[in-house]
Order: sequence, then structure tokens, then C-alpha cells
Amino acid sequence: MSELSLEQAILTRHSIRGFLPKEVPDELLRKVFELAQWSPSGTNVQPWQAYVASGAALKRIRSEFIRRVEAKVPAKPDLPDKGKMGDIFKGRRRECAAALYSAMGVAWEDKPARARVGKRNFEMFDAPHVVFYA
Amino acid sequence: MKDNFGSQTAADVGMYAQTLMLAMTANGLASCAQGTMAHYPDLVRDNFGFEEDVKVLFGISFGYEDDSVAANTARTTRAPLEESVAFIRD
Repeated sequence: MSELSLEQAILTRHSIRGFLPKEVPDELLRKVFELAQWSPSGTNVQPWQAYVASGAALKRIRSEFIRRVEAKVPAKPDLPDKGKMGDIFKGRRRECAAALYSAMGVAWEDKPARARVGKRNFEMFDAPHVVFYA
Repeated sequence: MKDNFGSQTAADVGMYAQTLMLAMTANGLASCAQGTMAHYPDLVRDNFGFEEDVKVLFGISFGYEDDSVAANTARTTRAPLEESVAFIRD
């Protein structure tokens, strides 16, 4: 068992954008996904489908993401947002980006640097695993 | 999720995602939920071999934090409760 209380886990979780190359041991990998299986869902349908990529499969997926981003292939999400985001939400999104740029020493005016920051998403921040939800 | 499902189902997957990320945090793992992982769903479908009628929602990168990465010092805040929650009694 972990030493963290639920409250501590809620308050310490935040988005990490830089990972070590070290893989998560199988036993721990299975444990966290087993825990997540206990999530609630309407009438217990459990509609989630998780697809986890590691190792060579992840490398292959990552290279293809990067290839497309570099080739400026337009994003084509299955379920895109409908319409424009309201000002309150836009403001919060801007604050989020500002916090990231500030931590990385990137100026708003520096478009190429901002593009490099954006590209890190598609490099999956060098993570050894990615899970897709479908 | 299958495309005969709608936003209720997407909400279920969202609840799952937070449970997973909290379980990861409690076990010393780091994560980043990413909408960008839904940008090229055909790529994901091809690699895992699932059908066109299963729609990609998002992805979560995870592993161990590299604490030498500057981006990991970034922190966001949260809006005051009044902006997000309404309480009524009468």
C-alpha cells in the first residue's frame, strides 16, 4: 500500500511532461489498471476500452505521430469539440499554457519555441507507456 | 468507445481516467492525460487492430517522472468554488 492519503493523491497529481526511460514493472502496471476497473459507470456497463502501448509498439506509434505532425497533417479526431470555446475557458487554457511556457523559459512571441513545446505532446514526453481510450 | 454510445459513456471513461491517474499517483507513477492522442485515430486503430466503429477519446502517457525536466515544475491553479459549483437548498 502507498503512504499517500486519497487527499494527498488528489492534490499531488498533476500533468507530467518529461518521463524517465524506465518501464513500469508488469506487476505494478496490472495493479493500477486493476484498481481503475473499479471506476463507476452508468448501470455498470464499464464501457472503457484501454489500449496500452510499450516497447517497440510505442516507438512505432510515436514515430508515426511525429511524422504526421512534422508533415502538418491536420488532426482528424473522431469526436471533435462542437463550436467555439467560451471566454472563461479560453482564459483558463491561456493560463495553463503561460504556466508551462514560463517553467520552460519560452516567450509568448517565440512561435518556433512554442511549436516545439506543442510537439512534445506527440513525443508523449518520452514516456515508456501510453494508454489510449476508445 | 463504440459510436452507438454518447456523452454519458464518455463521462464514464472520464471517471475511469481519474481513478487510473490517482491509482498511479498513489503508486509513485506520473501521468499526463492528452487530448492530442486523439488527433489521428486511424493510426491508433491500425496499430491495435480495432474497428472503425470504436472511437478514440484521448490518451494518457505514463511512467516515472524525470525531475530534471523544466516543464515538470509548471503548476496550474483552480478556479474558486463559486465559478464551478452551485448549491441550493430551498
